[in-house]
Amino acid sequence: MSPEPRAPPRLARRILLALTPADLADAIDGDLLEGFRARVPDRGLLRARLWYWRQLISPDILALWRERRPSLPPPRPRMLGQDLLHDVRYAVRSLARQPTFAAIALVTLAVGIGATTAVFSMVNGVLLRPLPYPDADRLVMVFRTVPRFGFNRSTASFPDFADWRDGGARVARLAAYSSARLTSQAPEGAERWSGYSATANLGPVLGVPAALGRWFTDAEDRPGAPLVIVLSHGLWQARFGGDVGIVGRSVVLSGEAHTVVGVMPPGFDFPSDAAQFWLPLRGDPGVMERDGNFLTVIGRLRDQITVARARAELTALAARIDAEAPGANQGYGLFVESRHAFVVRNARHALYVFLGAVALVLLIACANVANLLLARGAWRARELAIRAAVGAGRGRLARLLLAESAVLGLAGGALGVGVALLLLRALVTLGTGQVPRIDDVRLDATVLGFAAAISLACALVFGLVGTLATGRGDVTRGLRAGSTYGASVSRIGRRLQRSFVVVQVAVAVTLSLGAGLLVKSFVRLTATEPGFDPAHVVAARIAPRGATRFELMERVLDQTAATPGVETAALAYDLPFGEHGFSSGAVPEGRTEGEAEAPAIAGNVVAGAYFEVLRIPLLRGRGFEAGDAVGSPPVAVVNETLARAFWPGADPVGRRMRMGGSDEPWTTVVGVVGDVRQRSLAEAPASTYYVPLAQSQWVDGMFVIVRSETPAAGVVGALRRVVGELEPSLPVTDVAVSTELVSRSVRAPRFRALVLAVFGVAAVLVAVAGVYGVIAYSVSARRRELGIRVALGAAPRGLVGQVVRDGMWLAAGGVALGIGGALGLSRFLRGFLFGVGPLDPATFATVAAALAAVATVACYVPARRAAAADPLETMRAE
Amino acid sequence: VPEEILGGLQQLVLLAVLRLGHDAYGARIQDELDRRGGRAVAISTVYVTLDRLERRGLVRSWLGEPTPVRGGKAKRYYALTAGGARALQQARSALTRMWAGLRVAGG
Repeated sequence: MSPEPRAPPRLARRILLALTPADLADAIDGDLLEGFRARVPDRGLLRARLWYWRQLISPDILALWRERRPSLPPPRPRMLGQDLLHDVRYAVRSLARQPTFAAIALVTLAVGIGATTAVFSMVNGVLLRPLPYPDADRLVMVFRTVPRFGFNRSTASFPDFADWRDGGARVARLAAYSSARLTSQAPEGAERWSGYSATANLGPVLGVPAALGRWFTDAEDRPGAPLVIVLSHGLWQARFGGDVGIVGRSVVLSGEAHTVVGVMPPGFDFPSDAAQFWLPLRGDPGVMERDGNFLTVIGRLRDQITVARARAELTALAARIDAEAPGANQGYGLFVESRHAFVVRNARHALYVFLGAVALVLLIACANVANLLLARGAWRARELAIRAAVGAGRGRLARLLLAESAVLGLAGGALGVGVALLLLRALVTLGTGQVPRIDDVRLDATVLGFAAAISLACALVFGLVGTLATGRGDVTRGLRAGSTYGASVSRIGRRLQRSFVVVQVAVAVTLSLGAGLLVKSFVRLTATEPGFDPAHVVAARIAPRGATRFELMERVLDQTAATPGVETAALAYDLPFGEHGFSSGAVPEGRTEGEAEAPAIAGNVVAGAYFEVLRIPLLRGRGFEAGDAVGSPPVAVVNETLARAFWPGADPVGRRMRMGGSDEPWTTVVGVVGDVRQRSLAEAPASTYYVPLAQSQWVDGMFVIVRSETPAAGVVGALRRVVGELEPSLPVTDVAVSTELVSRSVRAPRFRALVLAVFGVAAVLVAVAGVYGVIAYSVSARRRELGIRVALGAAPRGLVGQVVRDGMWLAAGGVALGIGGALGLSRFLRGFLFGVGPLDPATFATVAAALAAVATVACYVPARRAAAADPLETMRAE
Repeated sequence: VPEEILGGLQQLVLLAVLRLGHDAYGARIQDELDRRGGRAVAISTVYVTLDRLERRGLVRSWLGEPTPVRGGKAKRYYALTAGGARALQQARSALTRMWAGLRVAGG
């Protein structure tokens, strides 16, 4: 580093010289060089350098500077800034004198502030920060509701959207979009892109212009208009090498020429980060049906219009339109909410629960540090009394204590930001895919401001507590009290200490109960049988087009099943835990209810050995056979739940049911299979029917599902080869490993249980430290008394019992209070619980008992130590 | 201005200056405080103390010759003034009087 090996550290030298008054600079520089060179031969270069650096760590560097400035008055009548500097320096020194105390307090604070800051930065990024569009708070979503199916956010049809857009123009400018897919034919094979088709006004509604070129126009959004496309920044980079000449170029996608008109800026990820392109919807109200609900509607509110007003006006409008076009939209409603509320709808509740939980952790941490300060304040009563005796005013003493708290609080906050960075990394990793907008989560100025604010708030609380308990200015009492060993916490201080312990235990109990409920839910959830065997099952989707698509699907199935290593194979419209499922109304023959009340029932279209591949048990009748073909009578297999709902107590095989409208044919049930949890482990199995592919020729794509002991990558490779040989232009998409689908469905509950469990454990640790500290302190304060008792013949065991009982009263109070808190708060967890009530007695009993046991140990250890001490020695220590 | 009592470190520094005689400059004083007095202090503390003593007229200082081992930087030498010698005497007799007839346990 330095040109001369024996040179003193250059940085240190520069700092020293910068801080030294000019007339002494040469002398000091020379002295240090001399001292440094004298040390190198004896103690080595490293120690000499350390010595040099240590010369820096002296408050007198500043004193030298200050005292030599003639313009400043002599030290006695200090100015505010200097006083502050003095207070802070004093605080740092006095904390450094008791490093154990300082370390415990700092670690406690760092954990409390760090965890709170980490969770707050998630709340900030996800819930508080506006979405990345201009005036994002003016964006709203407009949904259909279907109360009878329990759908709150359903899509709309094009004619409905067009009517709302025109009729509701006064309240909002409405745009609509729907997912779209395109196939790109590259030399390496066909590739499927996902994107959205949207109305031309989506661009202006969002208010984000294209980075290159432009968004598409109204003229391009008409039926029959030439095809154009807008690319995402990511797709442009990945597939077109970021070529700036792309605009105006023609690209063949799904067999048709599309002109690229624009590229969106990086970070534009509407409506999700999966969007790779945007196309004009080219909607035709004359052709599109009113019951073809496929559009998601977004709008920008006009000035002065609130979400509630928009909801009222659009609902009234929709009701009018629905009344004019009866049938299609019977029983539908309309719902408007802000885009932001829609995006964060699943995360909001959990994040606020986390924030509440972490605030409780911070509360315990603060109580703990306040307790430490109280105990320490007692030790220092004598010092403070002396200061008071030599003339320090009460305000001055309070300021000293406040300065100490401020130094503690700010140092704890600084460490806490470090802790927050680490925690945040873990939270973001865990929360990816669970929490929307998690990419927006970071430590920014808002979060740092928050950390600083809570640090100062903590400091203020300790400072006030400390002042309240010790800064009473009673000089003689302080001096007298200080002479006896430690027994000098004022009565108010002692009472505070004990109530802090009760609060700590209470909060720890409340948090642990919440965590216990979530953990139990998670265990229950993962122990739930999904109704099928996901092990060794791999799936991938194909969506061929054209008249021969069904033959192609069948050929893919046959060849896949014949591949070595493949046990069985099947085709299915949807997988358990997949996202393609459909539902329709259905009625059994002979029931008289009207269509409108027909419950929605999940359907699936299958071919091949579907039930064997997923190991779904066939309970009655038969599965599908080759004879269930296009022209033969329609057949279905139903699950147990549907069988029970439609034909309670009867054999469903041979009965008939009708799916969809009254013009659909009757379908005969030929078999009953076991229930499968279709969406998630937490949802009870829905009534489900299965129909054969040969009789359901409307499907637009099927999963090829394979059971094989071969590793998933090998199976997918084989499947790709099969498809590539049969139809090179057909992409294989949506590769899914069944076990991953299942475990993904429990990721959110696992995330919640894990976070709350970590908070719970942290709370218990801090609370136990608190109980231990207070009991240990009270034992040390009573050592003389206990020593005398032992000397007078008291049995040590009796004394231990007495001390432990004393502590247990506090713990019991805390546990009782904590249970009360949990009774009040656990209802906020209700939506997260599975198979466990919010007041689950077993969890409550276990957690309360565990905490009581831990608290007993925390009391027993110091009590034991006091009774074991030699009574003579204890008394002599005075 | 009433005579102030010498601080502990001030006494030690004065004694070091007295003991070092013609060789009393920063690095040597710091060394002497450490080796003989058992007080390892930073160089700035030495100078702050010397500075205060100088402003009270108890020491005086002058620039000496530069030497190679100091990178060509001049030394600042210190010596006791008459006032400094008197202050040391007073401090000593005060201590002696205070100690008369006393014993401390634990030595």
